[in-house]
Parts: sequence; C-alpha cells; structure tokens
Amino acid sequence: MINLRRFVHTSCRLERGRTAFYNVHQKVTDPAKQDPDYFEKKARELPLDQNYIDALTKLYYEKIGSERDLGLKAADNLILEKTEFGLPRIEKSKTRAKYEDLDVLSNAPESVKKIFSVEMATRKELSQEWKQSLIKSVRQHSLDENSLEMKIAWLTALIRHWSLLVNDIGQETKKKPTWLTHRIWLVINERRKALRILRERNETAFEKTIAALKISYHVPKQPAHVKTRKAWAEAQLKLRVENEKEKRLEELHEKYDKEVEEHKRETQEKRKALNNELDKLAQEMRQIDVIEGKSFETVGKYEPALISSLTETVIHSNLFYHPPPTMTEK
Amino acid sequence: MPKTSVWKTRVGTQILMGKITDITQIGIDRIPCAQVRCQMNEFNIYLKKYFARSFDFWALDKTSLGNIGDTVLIKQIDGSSRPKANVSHAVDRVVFKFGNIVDPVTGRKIFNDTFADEIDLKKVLVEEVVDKPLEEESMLFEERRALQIRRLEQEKEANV
Repeated sequence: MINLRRFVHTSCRLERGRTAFYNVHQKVTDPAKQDPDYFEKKARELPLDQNYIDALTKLYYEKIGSERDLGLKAADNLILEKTEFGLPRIEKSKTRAKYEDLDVLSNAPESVKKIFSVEMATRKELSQEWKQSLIKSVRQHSLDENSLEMKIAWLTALIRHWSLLVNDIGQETKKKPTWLTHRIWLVINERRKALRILRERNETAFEKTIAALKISYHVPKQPAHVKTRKAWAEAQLKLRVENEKEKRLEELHEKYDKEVEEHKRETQEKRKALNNELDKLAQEMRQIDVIEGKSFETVGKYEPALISSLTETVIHSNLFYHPPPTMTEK
Repeated sequence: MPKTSVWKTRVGTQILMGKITDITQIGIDRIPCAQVRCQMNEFNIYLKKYFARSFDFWALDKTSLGNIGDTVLIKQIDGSSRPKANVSHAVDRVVFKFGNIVDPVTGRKIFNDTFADEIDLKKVLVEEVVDKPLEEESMLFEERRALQIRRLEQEKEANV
C-alpha cells in the first residue's frame, strides 16, 4: 500500500510557529521599568513553582521588547513626564535671546514687545530658548562654548525637544517617525559618550551636571552572560537558587537556635525535678535511720556557754597577761 | 630559550599597578576584595615588539581603599594570609583616584587638557570683564560694550 503521508507536506505549515514572536518595539508605560535592574528584581520575586521557567521567558521577552523604548526615554525620565518632556518652562513674555540686547525694545510699546517675545516665536527659536536655558544651568562661564558640560546640556535639550516632536507627530499619524527616532538614538549615544568622558575626567562636575539636567546615568555593567533568553533565564535561576539556599539555611539556623534554647530549658527543668526527688528520698532514708536508732534528729541549735567562757577568759587575762614590751622608756 | 614566539614578561608579580574593575566581599567575614586589571608586556620575537596584555588579579582591600575605576598599587601576599587561593595580592595604595586627574609633575588638577586653576581664572575674568558690564541696566548696549573693552584693557595692564 502506498503511504499517503509521503504526499502530504506539513513542513511549511510547521515553519510558521518555529520561533516565538515578541514585539521588539513594545511601548513602555510603567515608569518603574526605568530602573535598570527592574526585570532582575521581578525575576527574584517570581514564585518557584512549575511555571517558573515560563514566567522567566515571558519576563525576558518583555525585557528585550522594552529595551529600545527605554533606551530612548529612560535616561530623561520621559515615560513619566509626558507633558513638559523635561524641557525648562520659559516665560511667554520674555524677549527672545536674539533680540535681548536691543536697546530699542526696552522702550517699545507692549504690542511690539510681544512680537519679539517667546510667545510669538517659531519652533526653531523656542528650541533655541530651551537649549540656552539648559546650557546656562551647567556651563562654566558665559563664553563657554566647548566644554563637555555645555555639550551635554545642548544634546539633552535636543533629545527632549525631538522626543516632544515625536510625540506631536504621533498624535496626528499612527506611523512612527523613524527618521527622527533614529536620530534621537544617535544623539543619545553621543551624550552617553560625553557623560562617560566627563565622569572619567571630572566627577564633581559630572554629578553637578546630571543633577542640574535631571539625567539618570547608570554605569554600564559588563554583561556577565551571553545575551540570549536561555542564558538570561539560567543566570536568573542560578541567582535565585543561591538566594533561596541562603534563605533556607538562615531559616534552619534560626530553627536550630530556637530548638537548642528549648532543649536547654527542658533539661534544666528535668534536672530540677530529679534533684527534688533525690532530696525527698534522702530525707525519707534519714527518717528510717532515726526510727531504727542508727541516727538521731537534731532539734534546735547548739549554743556555747558564752557568759561563763567569757568570764573565764577575763580572769585568765587578769592573772597571766603581760603587755608586750615597748622600745620607749616609761 | 622558550619555544614560543611570544615571551612572557620577565617582570614578576610582586608589585603591580592596575585599575580596579570589580569589588566584592568574600567569606563569612565579608572581606572586601578588588579585581585589578594590570597590563603586562609580552615580547614577540618575530616582530621584535612588546604587546600589552591585561591580566586580572584579585587583591585584598581590608580597609576599602579603592573604588571602581581607581588606579591602585597591589603587592603580593604570602600563602598564610590569603583568604582564598586566587586572592594573591593586597591593595597597597591608591595612585590615581577615578575622576580626579592630577598632573604628576606639577601636582595640579587637570580637566580635559587644561589645568583646573586656569579654568577658575577664566571664570573670574569672564565674570569681571563680560558679565558685569552687561548687567548694568542704566546703560545702552554700545556703552556696555565700551565698558567691557575698558575693563579688558585694565585687566591687561594689571597683569603685564
């Protein structure tokens, strides 16, 4: 008989489900994920049951999926801050930086001032204002144009401004402006490099800069394992087992300590009871001895004849006492 | 003569200098230990050239002298004082602190190839010559510029 299965090809159908699909461009909405150790901490909290490995896998794909979005937003806290985008608030009535030094404007009427104010500024001029404002907060002096702090502030303003732009574009179209997000990614890496160099050269200035610009900088760690799902899950499992072992040992130790204390108390009590019994028995034995006449019971206490013995001592000292010889003459 | 074309360094590991790459605590006593990456030279006899190769050493750091990134001097310790077989050295002293570069010749601090005191001087001068005249609101812009130039001339004369 001809085997019909030879003519039915199922391999192409099987191909579709070979690799698990996960979205590498997941949108992150939870600001807690900005913590670089968030997923490792979550992995530590997973219950150790039969679904543990599956839960780890799920967590890993979530981690990988949100990496891109976090890379774009985490350092500037942009997941939490959806309205201002970390950009400084600039007064609407302020004259634009370009026209600040014009003497004519100081005496001009309000309507003219308004034309040259930030309120009427184009987007380009507004972004310049943001940049100037951030740069002013960290630069070394007013003529400083090439220090790392100034560069970092400029790049930060650029990143936040462009992120705001991406958000604005996202309101109108569903398509992601990759031409812009890619550039943000490049600028973020540029800033990361500048931050690294500044931290190497001048740590105090680095601390001041990231505090002023509200950048969260994490020292990049060398990965301890290969970046695959299996290796990550294995590393998490290993850590978990180690922690679990420590925890259980600690518990056992505490239990042991408690048991030792309990045992001590119990033996003390037992010893006391036995001693009491022994005393009782000794008393009974003595009474038997008394009844048999081998021993007798003492009643009362022996008092020596104090007065008579004292009188005797006094008489003796009167009769026989000689004072010790002294070296001095009387 | 060794058969390989790469000769290991002839310098011993009694005293080494390197950068701290990792810090952990070991044992029940949690003794701080630092992983120090030291560069040692290897000589290639065909190329007649030394190549720098890094080796990692674990060093005891009982008083927690170093932080990650610091350049430290480490010295070998004898077998009896080793808490573990692979902890072969102890941190002697910190030579360069991380993020605090000091010129060894003059002893002055350096930020990005300029001395720190020069930057401070520049800050003071810019504030005196540029910023303060611009803050005076009673003057017109041209007058402020003139004041700036005057201040600059004064500073020049004072420092000649």
